[in-house]
Amino acid sequence: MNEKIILLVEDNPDDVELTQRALRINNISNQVEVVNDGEQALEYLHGRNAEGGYSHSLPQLVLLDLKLPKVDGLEVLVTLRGHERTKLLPVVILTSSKEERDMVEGYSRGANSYVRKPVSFEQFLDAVRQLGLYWLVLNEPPPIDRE
Amino acid sequence: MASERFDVDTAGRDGPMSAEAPKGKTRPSGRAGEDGRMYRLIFENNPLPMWVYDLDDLRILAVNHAAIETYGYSRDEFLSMTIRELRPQESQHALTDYLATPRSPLQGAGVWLHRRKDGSLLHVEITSHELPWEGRRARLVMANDVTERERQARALEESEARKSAILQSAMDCIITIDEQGRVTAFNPAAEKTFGYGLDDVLGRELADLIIPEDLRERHRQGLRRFLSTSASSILGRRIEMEAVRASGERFPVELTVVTNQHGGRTWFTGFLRDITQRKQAQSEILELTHGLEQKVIERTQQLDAANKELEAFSYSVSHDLRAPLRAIDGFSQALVDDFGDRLDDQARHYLGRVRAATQRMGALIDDLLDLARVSRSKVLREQLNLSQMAEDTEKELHEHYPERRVEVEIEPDIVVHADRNLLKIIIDNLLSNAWKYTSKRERAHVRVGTTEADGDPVTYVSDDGAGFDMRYAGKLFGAFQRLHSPAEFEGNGIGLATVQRIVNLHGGRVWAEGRVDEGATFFFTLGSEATHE
Repeated sequence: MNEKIILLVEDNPDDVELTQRALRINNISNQVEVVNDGEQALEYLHGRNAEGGYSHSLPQLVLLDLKLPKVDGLEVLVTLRGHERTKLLPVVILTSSKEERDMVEGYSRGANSYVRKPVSFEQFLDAVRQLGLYWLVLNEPPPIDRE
Repeated sequence: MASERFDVDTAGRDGPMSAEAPKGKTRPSGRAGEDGRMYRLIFENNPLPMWVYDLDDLRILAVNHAAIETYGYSRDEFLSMTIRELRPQESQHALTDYLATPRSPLQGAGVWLHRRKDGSLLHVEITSHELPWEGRRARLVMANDVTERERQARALEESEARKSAILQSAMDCIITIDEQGRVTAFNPAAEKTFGYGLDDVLGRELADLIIPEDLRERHRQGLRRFLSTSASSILGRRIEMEAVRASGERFPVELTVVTNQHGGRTWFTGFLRDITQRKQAQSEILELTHGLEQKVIERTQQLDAANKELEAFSYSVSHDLRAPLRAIDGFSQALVDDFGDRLDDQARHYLGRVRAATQRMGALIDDLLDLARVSRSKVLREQLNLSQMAEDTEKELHEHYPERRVEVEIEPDIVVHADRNLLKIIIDNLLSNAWKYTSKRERAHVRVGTTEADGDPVTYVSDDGAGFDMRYAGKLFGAFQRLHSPAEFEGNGIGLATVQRIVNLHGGRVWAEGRVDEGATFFFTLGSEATHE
């Protein structure tokens, strides 16, 4: 079971496509699941199936945008950290903002990392490469039940 | 004078008194001599000054010891004088008139002004009685010295007059009441203010007149309490209360109450002032103040709202404006990467221009956000080594532009009190500018040093680069203001605006001097707390 899923929480289709492209160019072949708002993200991570189990297995990494429709990224983060299943799940905030308060709020609500999406695609490529290398290869994931 | 003191023995010798006993007094003839001596003694030793004068020629016929003592003339002098000589010049007429008027035998002549031998004046109350004297018509005069009494009376009169004048002319209402609360004095100002005549109020209870009905009982209680316990909450201090005019109109007064006691009784005097106008002015001021406060609150709210909007705007810019730029850049790159073999040089050039433009816009957005952030930031001052900071920046610039040959001279140990992060932005901006505008020089020189302006320590950064025309010096610090085209020098005109914001936040100032092609110097101070060592 080597399926290390990446959950991308991103409402902007351009960013979705560019992120997927950057992952591909960097040879990160993990399955990428995309949800477009906070509500969908929580449904994906906490939703249950008819048998009472979780409907999706846990991803290896969540890339979380902050500015999202319905439930924004910080609220998603709070909910995840308050839930037994996802309190240790690696979450990287991937956002346009470098507002100090976003960083402070993000970290204080339990983000594992905060990465600002650069305008330059070249720099973005590099960021995604390093993210993939670190979180999917280098980092020892927390011992959690992903099913 | 003691030598002239009369005694019984000497009095008997030429006793003129023995010639006549007082009228109506008859004595057994055997005792006539003794009686005469007695009467003479009563005359001579009478504590009151006495004399007898001739009603026809006014000459003094006899005088007693008290008169001699009081007036300072000797007996012989007296006996050679007329009573006119006892009068000062100014009362001679009155004497003439007096003498011209027929008199009853016993006469209380009132108070006269007399003159002593030494010229000093005295008031005497004269009582006289006509009597025959050695066959002449004469009058026995008794002069009671009432100078002191007169003086006191006049002083009292004067004092009363003064008091009355004060009372009459005072602008404040002055009202006195007795222990029963009845009015005993009510000056004209009070009459005018309250609309009562003096006769309307004298003897009436004050409470019924000028105290509003709902306060009357309190007034009476206060009076009773003071009289039984001497305790009062209003005595001796200025209080404000309401009073009522004869017309029934209520109005505000300022009141001070004092007590005076005399003969075991107490009076209360109130000084009142109609403060209707003052109150009106006060309430107008209050209204104005309140209005102003209201306005300040409103404006502050508007300002807060504007600031919040601006913040929301910055936030939105930060998030939303950059996303399309990323898309433009990313997909342009995708086009080059995936379809590069099908694009000719011109197409690739255009895509390069698109990408360069998006980078510039990205940088511009970042700089604008920095500028906005700087404006919002708080200044946390600490002691900083500006020289060290400049050296760090210099090192970064050398690393970033290894091909440039810039000689930097930094005055050692420039110490300032400033916010670390903000000062770093100033240094970065000024040194980057120096780098940028000397880029056309083979060898550039940059100097960081200190000087003084108007007693304030000044730090400067100078270069020998492109410089600028002093005519445009004022435009240097405006956001988006540039003195060079992007073709000459890259830039977006936000760096110096940011520097100025930061300097302003520190309460300092920033200015520049320069000449075209001869370099520029930027000076700045960091406010009152900034110090150099």
